[in-house]
Amino acid sequence: MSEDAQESPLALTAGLLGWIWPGLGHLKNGDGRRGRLVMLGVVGLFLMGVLIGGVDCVDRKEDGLWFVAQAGAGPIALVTDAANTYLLKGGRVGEMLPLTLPNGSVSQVNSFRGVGAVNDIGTLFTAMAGLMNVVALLDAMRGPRKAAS
Amino acid sequence: MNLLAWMPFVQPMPGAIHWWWLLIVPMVAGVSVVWKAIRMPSLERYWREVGFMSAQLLLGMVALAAGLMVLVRVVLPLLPAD
Repeated sequence: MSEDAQESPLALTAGLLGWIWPGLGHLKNGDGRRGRLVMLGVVGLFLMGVLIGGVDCVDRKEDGLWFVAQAGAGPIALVTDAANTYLLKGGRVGEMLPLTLPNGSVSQVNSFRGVGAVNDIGTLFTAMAGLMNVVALLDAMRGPRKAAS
Repeated sequence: MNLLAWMPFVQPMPGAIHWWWLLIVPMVAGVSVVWKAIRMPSLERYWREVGFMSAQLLLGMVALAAGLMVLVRVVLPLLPAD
């Protein structure tokens, strides 16, 4: 690490902006093209995951560890989880079907819920989006880049 | 499920269960787009580097899958059962 990099304080505002919306941290640092590319990659991965697996692939309560990774993508993960709770678990779309649990008790599950490989892939895409955004916002926190020599 | 009845972003994608393994392609592309945007000192030749990294990741995953298939289907059955 260079001496300048050690002396410069972390750009916390850029990090926070990068979490609020992927790429904003780099845009704040004046690195517009890099910010737009991060936005394209992270938001693209996240939307692709939700497109494949549906909103059910982001579930704070049932997939807590995955959600830790997904939350790295910022408020879009929180909004998707809220949409899952409101639409699917609240029964506002689809049909609530009875589900008998191994202990004999009967619960309800939405017919729009994702299962199998499709749900796994959707969860993986959204988690990868979150993890890549954490890497991007850590990079944004280093502050503006010096011009490449 | 009929494709016309599909609610995108709410329901899982119909039919994706049959070709889920192909989704590795957009995933490695997305990871490469972000990684190269962060790591390259200059963004000249950016898309070429993204393509190269995507191909590397894809070939690595294919090699890993082939190696595991050989292990499970060829090597492990040769081992004594007891």
